[in-house]
Amino acid sequence: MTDAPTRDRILDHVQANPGIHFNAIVRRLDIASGQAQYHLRRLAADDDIHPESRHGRTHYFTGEFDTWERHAVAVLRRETARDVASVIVSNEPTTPTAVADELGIARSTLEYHLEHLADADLVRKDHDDAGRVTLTAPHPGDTLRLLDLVTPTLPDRLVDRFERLVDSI
Amino acid sequence: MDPGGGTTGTDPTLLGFVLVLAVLVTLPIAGVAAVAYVRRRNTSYLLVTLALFALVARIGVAAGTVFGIVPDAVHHLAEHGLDVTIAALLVGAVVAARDIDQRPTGEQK
Repeated sequence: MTDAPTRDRILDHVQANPGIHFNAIVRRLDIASGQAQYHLRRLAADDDIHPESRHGRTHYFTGEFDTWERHAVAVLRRETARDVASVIVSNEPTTPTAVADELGIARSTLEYHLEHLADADLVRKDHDDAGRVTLTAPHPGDTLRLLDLVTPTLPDRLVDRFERLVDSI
Repeated sequence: MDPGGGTTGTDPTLLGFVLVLAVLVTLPIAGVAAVAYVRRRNTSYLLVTLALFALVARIGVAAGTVFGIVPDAVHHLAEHGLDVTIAALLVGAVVAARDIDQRPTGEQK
Protein backbone atom coordinates (compact mmCIF):
# COMPACT_ATOMS: atom_id res chain seq x y z
CA MET A 1 0.00 0.00 0.00
CA THR A 2 1.00 3.61 -0.30
CA ASP A 3 2.11 5.94 2.45
CA ALA A 4 0.39 9.28 1.76
CA PRO A 5 -3.37 9.77 2.18
CA THR A 6 -3.49 11.89 -1.00
CA ARG A 7 -1.83 9.08 -2.90
CA ASP A 8 -4.46 6.63 -1.60
CA ARG A 9 -7.23 9.00 -2.68
CA ILE A 10 -5.74 9.24 -6.17
CA LEU A 11 -5.34 5.45 -6.39
CA ASP A 12 -8.95 4.90 -5.24
CA HIS A 13 -10.19 7.43 -7.77
CA VAL A 14 -8.25 5.84 -10.64
CA GLN A 15 -9.60 2.43 -9.57
CA ALA A 16 -13.18 3.73 -9.61
CA ASN A 17 -12.70 5.64 -12.89
CA PRO A 18 -10.54 3.59 -15.27
CA GLY A 19 -8.93 5.72 -17.94
CA ILE A 20 -9.51 9.00 -16.10
CA HIS A 21 -7.23 11.75 -17.38
CA PHE A 22 -4.94 14.09 -15.49
CA ASN A 23 -7.11 17.23 -15.53
CA ALA A 24 -10.15 15.34 -14.23
CA ILE A 25 -8.14 13.89 -11.32
CA VAL A 26 -6.91 17.38 -10.36
CA ARG A 27 -10.40 18.88 -10.68
CA ARG A 28 -12.38 16.18 -8.91
CA LEU A 29 -9.99 15.59 -6.00
CA ASP A 30 -9.27 19.33 -5.70
CA ILE A 31 -5.51 18.90 -5.42
CA ALA A 32 -2.68 21.00 -6.86
CA SER A 33 -1.50 19.75 -10.25
CA GLY A 34 2.12 19.56 -9.07
CA GLN A 35 1.02 17.37 -6.18
CA ALA A 36 -1.05 15.16 -8.47
CA GLN A 37 1.90 14.85 -10.85
CA TYR A 38 4.23 13.82 -8.02
CA HIS A 39 1.89 11.16 -6.63
CA LEU A 40 0.97 9.79 -10.07
CA ARG A 41 4.67 9.43 -10.88
CA ARG A 42 5.26 7.56 -7.61
CA LEU A 43 2.21 5.33 -8.17
CA ALA A 44 3.44 4.54 -11.70
CA ALA A 45 6.97 3.81 -10.40
CA ASP A 46 5.47 1.34 -7.87
CA ASP A 47 3.43 -0.26 -10.70
CA ASP A 48 0.16 0.57 -8.90
CA ILE A 49 -1.10 2.51 -11.91
CA HIS A 50 -0.37 2.47 -15.62
CA PRO A 51 -0.40 5.71 -17.63
CA GLU A 52 -1.63 5.45 -21.22
CA SER A 53 -0.99 8.37 -23.60
CA ARG A 54 -3.57 8.65 -26.38
CA HIS A 55 -4.32 11.58 -28.68
CA GLY A 56 -2.44 14.11 -26.57
CA ARG A 57 -3.92 13.01 -23.25
CA THR A 58 -2.64 10.75 -20.50
CA HIS A 59 -5.17 8.29 -19.11
CA TYR A 60 -4.57 6.37 -15.88
CA PHE A 61 -5.44 2.76 -15.09
CA THR A 62 -4.93 0.28 -12.27
CA GLY A 63 -3.13 -3.01 -12.97
CA GLU A 64 -6.09 -5.16 -14.05
CA PHE A 65 -6.28 -3.66 -17.56
CA ASP A 66 -4.18 -5.10 -20.39
CA THR A 67 -2.74 -3.00 -23.21
CA TRP A 68 -5.73 -3.50 -25.55
CA GLU A 69 -8.22 -2.64 -22.78
CA ARG A 70 -6.31 0.51 -21.83
CA HIS A 71 -6.32 1.75 -25.42
CA ALA A 72 -10.00 0.77 -25.86
CA VAL A 73 -11.17 2.49 -22.67
CA ALA A 74 -9.26 5.68 -23.56
CA VAL A 75 -11.25 5.81 -26.82
CA LEU A 76 -14.58 4.76 -25.24
CA ARG A 77 -14.46 7.69 -22.81
CA ARG A 78 -15.58 9.89 -25.70
CA GLU A 79 -19.35 10.25 -26.01
CA THR A 80 -19.61 10.09 -29.80
CA ALA A 81 -17.08 7.23 -30.06
CA ARG A 82 -19.26 5.31 -27.58
CA ASP A 83 -22.37 5.93 -29.66
CA VAL A 84 -20.60 4.77 -32.82
CA ALA A 85 -19.20 1.63 -31.13
CA SER A 86 -22.63 0.75 -29.65
CA VAL A 87 -24.42 1.10 -32.98
CA ILE A 88 -21.81 -1.06 -34.74
CA VAL A 89 -21.90 -3.78 -32.05
CA SER A 90 -25.72 -3.90 -32.25
CA ASN A 91 -26.02 -3.78 -36.06
CA GLU A 92 -22.87 -5.40 -37.44
CA PRO A 93 -22.08 -5.86 -40.24
CA THR A 94 -23.11 -2.33 -41.16
CA THR A 95 -21.99 0.63 -43.30
CA PRO A 96 -20.73 4.15 -42.49
CA THR A 97 -23.86 5.66 -44.08
CA ALA A 98 -26.18 3.56 -41.90
CA VAL A 99 -24.25 4.46 -38.73
CA ALA A 100 -24.16 8.20 -39.55
CA ASP A 101 -27.91 8.13 -40.32
CA GLU A 102 -28.78 6.23 -37.15
CA LEU A 103 -26.83 8.69 -34.97
CA GLY A 104 -27.69 11.82 -36.95
CA ILE A 105 -24.03 12.85 -37.18
CA ALA A 106 -22.03 14.31 -40.06
CA ARG A 107 -19.88 11.97 -42.10
CA SER A 108 -16.74 13.86 -41.04
CA THR A 109 -17.60 13.33 -37.35
CA LEU A 110 -18.10 9.62 -38.01
CA GLU A 111 -14.85 9.20 -39.97
CA TYR A 112 -12.87 10.96 -37.23
CA HIS A 113 -14.19 8.59 -34.55
CA LEU A 114 -13.99 5.49 -36.78
CA GLU A 115 -10.30 6.19 -37.22
CA HIS A 116 -9.76 6.14 -33.45
CA LEU A 117 -12.02 3.10 -32.94
CA ALA A 118 -10.20 1.16 -35.69
CA ASP A 119 -6.86 2.19 -34.16
CA ALA A 120 -7.98 0.66 -30.87
CA ASP A 121 -9.22 -2.50 -32.65
CA LEU A 122 -12.78 -1.83 -31.45
CA VAL A 123 -14.08 -1.60 -35.02
CA ARG A 124 -12.86 -3.18 -38.25
CA LYS A 125 -13.21 -1.37 -41.59
CA ASP A 126 -13.21 -3.65 -44.60
CA HIS A 127 -13.21 -2.38 -48.19
CA ASP A 128 -14.73 -4.52 -50.94
CA ASP A 129 -13.71 -4.41 -54.62
CA ALA A 130 -16.22 -1.65 -55.39
CA GLY A 131 -14.72 0.51 -52.61
CA ARG A 132 -17.71 0.02 -50.28
CA VAL A 133 -16.88 -0.06 -46.58
CA THR A 134 -18.23 -2.67 -44.15
CA LEU A 135 -17.97 -2.06 -40.42
CA THR A 136 -17.75 -4.91 -37.93
CA ALA A 137 -16.91 -5.23 -34.23
CA PRO A 138 -14.03 -7.70 -33.70
CA HIS A 139 -14.64 -8.01 -29.92
CA PRO A 140 -18.35 -7.31 -29.31
CA GLY A 141 -18.53 -8.86 -25.82
CA ASP A 142 -15.45 -7.06 -24.49
CA THR A 143 -16.55 -3.83 -26.16
CA LEU A 144 -19.90 -3.93 -24.32
CA ARG A 145 -18.14 -4.75 -21.03
CA LEU A 146 -15.77 -1.78 -21.41
CA LEU A 147 -18.64 0.52 -22.47
CA ASP A 148 -20.37 -0.25 -19.15
CA LEU A 149 -17.20 0.46 -17.22
CA VAL A 150 -16.69 4.12 -18.14
CA THR A 151 -18.74 7.29 -18.52
CA PRO A 152 -17.52 10.46 -20.26
CA THR A 153 -16.87 13.55 -18.10
CA LEU A 154 -19.02 16.66 -18.58
CA PRO A 155 -16.25 18.73 -20.29
CA ASP A 156 -15.57 15.80 -22.65
CA ARG A 157 -19.28 15.59 -23.50
CA LEU A 158 -19.37 19.32 -24.25
CA VAL A 159 -16.36 19.12 -26.58
CA ASP A 160 -17.91 16.14 -28.40
CA ARG A 161 -21.24 17.94 -28.85
CA PHE A 162 -19.44 21.07 -30.05
CA GLU A 163 -17.66 18.94 -32.66
CA ARG A 164 -20.99 17.45 -33.79
CA LEU A 165 -22.37 20.96 -34.16
CA VAL A 166 -19.42 22.38 -36.11
CA ASP A 167 -19.19 19.28 -38.34
CA SER A 168 -22.86 19.63 -39.24
CA ILE A 169 -22.56 23.29 -40.38
CA MET B 1 -27.93 64.17 -21.05
CA ASP B 2 -25.71 62.75 -18.38
CA PRO B 3 -22.11 63.94 -18.61
CA GLY B 4 -21.02 60.78 -16.74
CA GLY B 5 -19.86 58.93 -19.89
CA GLY B 6 -20.60 55.88 -22.02
CA THR B 7 -22.75 54.06 -19.47
CA THR B 8 -25.32 56.86 -19.54
CA GLY B 9 -28.70 55.78 -18.23
CA THR B 10 -27.59 52.25 -17.32
CA ASP B 11 -27.39 51.06 -13.73
CA PRO B 12 -23.64 50.30 -13.28
CA THR B 13 -24.39 47.39 -10.90
CA LEU B 14 -26.70 45.76 -13.44
CA LEU B 15 -24.16 46.34 -16.22
CA GLY B 16 -21.40 44.80 -14.09
CA PHE B 17 -23.64 41.79 -13.38
CA VAL B 18 -24.39 41.30 -17.08
CA LEU B 19 -20.68 41.53 -17.98
CA VAL B 20 -19.70 38.96 -15.32
CA LEU B 21 -22.47 36.68 -16.61
CA ALA B 22 -21.24 37.17 -20.19
CA VAL B 23 -17.69 36.14 -19.21
CA LEU B 24 -18.96 33.11 -17.26
CA VAL B 25 -20.94 31.87 -20.26
CA THR B 26 -18.51 32.81 -23.04
CA LEU B 27 -15.13 31.74 -21.62
CA PRO B 28 -16.07 28.06 -21.08
CA ILE B 29 -17.53 27.68 -24.58
CA ALA B 30 -14.44 29.39 -26.06
CA GLY B 31 -12.36 26.87 -24.07
CA VAL B 32 -14.45 23.98 -25.42
CA ALA B 33 -13.91 25.32 -28.96
CA ALA B 34 -10.14 25.55 -28.39
CA VAL B 35 -9.99 21.91 -27.20
CA ALA B 36 -12.10 20.81 -30.19
CA TYR B 37 -9.73 22.69 -32.56
CA VAL B 38 -6.67 21.03 -31.00
CA ARG B 39 -8.35 17.64 -31.61
CA ARG B 40 -9.66 18.25 -35.10
CA ARG B 41 -7.11 20.69 -36.56
CA ASN B 42 -9.21 22.05 -39.40
CA THR B 43 -9.99 25.53 -40.65
CA SER B 44 -13.67 25.60 -39.61
CA TYR B 45 -12.76 24.79 -36.01
CA LEU B 46 -10.05 27.45 -36.00
CA LEU B 47 -12.42 30.13 -37.32
CA VAL B 48 -15.26 29.28 -34.89
CA THR B 49 -12.75 29.28 -32.02
CA LEU B 50 -11.40 32.69 -33.08
CA ALA B 51 -14.98 34.04 -33.35
CA LEU B 52 -15.70 32.92 -29.77
CA PHE B 53 -12.48 34.52 -28.50
CA ALA B 54 -13.39 37.72 -30.39
CA LEU B 55 -16.65 37.62 -28.42
CA VAL B 56 -14.60 37.34 -25.21
CA ALA B 57 -12.54 40.35 -26.39
CA ARG B 58 -15.76 42.28 -27.02
CA ILE B 59 -16.80 41.69 -23.40
CA GLY B 60 -13.31 42.83 -22.39
CA VAL B 61 -13.79 46.10 -24.29
CA ALA B 62 -17.16 46.65 -22.59
CA ALA B 63 -15.63 45.98 -19.16
CA GLY B 64 -12.69 48.27 -20.03
CA THR B 65 -15.17 51.04 -20.84
CA VAL B 66 -16.97 50.60 -17.50
CA PHE B 67 -13.67 50.80 -15.62
CA GLY B 68 -12.45 53.77 -17.69
CA ILE B 69 -9.56 51.86 -19.30
CA VAL B 70 -11.04 52.06 -22.80
CA PRO B 71 -11.84 55.68 -23.72
CA ASP B 72 -15.49 56.39 -24.58
CA ALA B 73 -14.45 57.71 -27.97
CA VAL B 74 -13.17 54.32 -29.17
CA HIS B 75 -15.39 51.78 -27.43
CA HIS B 76 -18.23 51.89 -29.98
CA LEU B 77 -15.79 51.52 -32.86
CA ALA B 78 -13.90 48.70 -31.09
CA GLU B 79 -17.08 46.78 -30.20
CA HIS B 80 -18.68 47.09 -33.60
CA GLY B 81 -15.34 46.32 -35.26
CA LEU B 82 -15.35 43.08 -33.26
CA ASP B 83 -18.96 42.44 -34.39
CA VAL B 84 -17.79 42.59 -37.99
CA THR B 85 -14.82 40.33 -37.15
CA ILE B 86 -17.07 37.73 -35.47
CA ALA B 87 -19.51 37.71 -38.40
CA ALA B 88 -16.66 37.41 -40.92
CA LEU B 89 -15.06 34.53 -38.99
CA LEU B 90 -18.39 32.66 -38.90
CA VAL B 91 -18.91 33.18 -42.63
CA GLY B 92 -15.37 31.87 -43.17
CA ALA B 93 -16.12 28.81 -40.98
CA VAL B 94 -19.23 28.00 -43.04
CA VAL B 95 -17.34 28.36 -46.33
CA ALA B 96 -14.46 26.18 -45.05
CA ALA B 97 -16.95 23.52 -43.83
CA ARG B 98 -18.35 23.23 -47.35
CA ASP B 99 -14.85 22.77 -48.79
CA ILE B 100 -14.32 19.86 -46.39
CA ASP B 101 -17.65 18.22 -47.28
CA GLN B 102 -16.70 18.28 -50.95
CA ARG B 103 -14.04 15.66 -50.38
CA PRO B 104 -15.00 12.13 -51.38
CA THR B 105 -16.24 10.05 -48.44
CA GLY B 106 -15.92 6.38 -47.56
CA GLU B 107 -12.23 6.34 -48.42
CA GLN B 108 -9.44 5.95 -45.94
CA LYS B 109 -6.73 8.59 -45.85
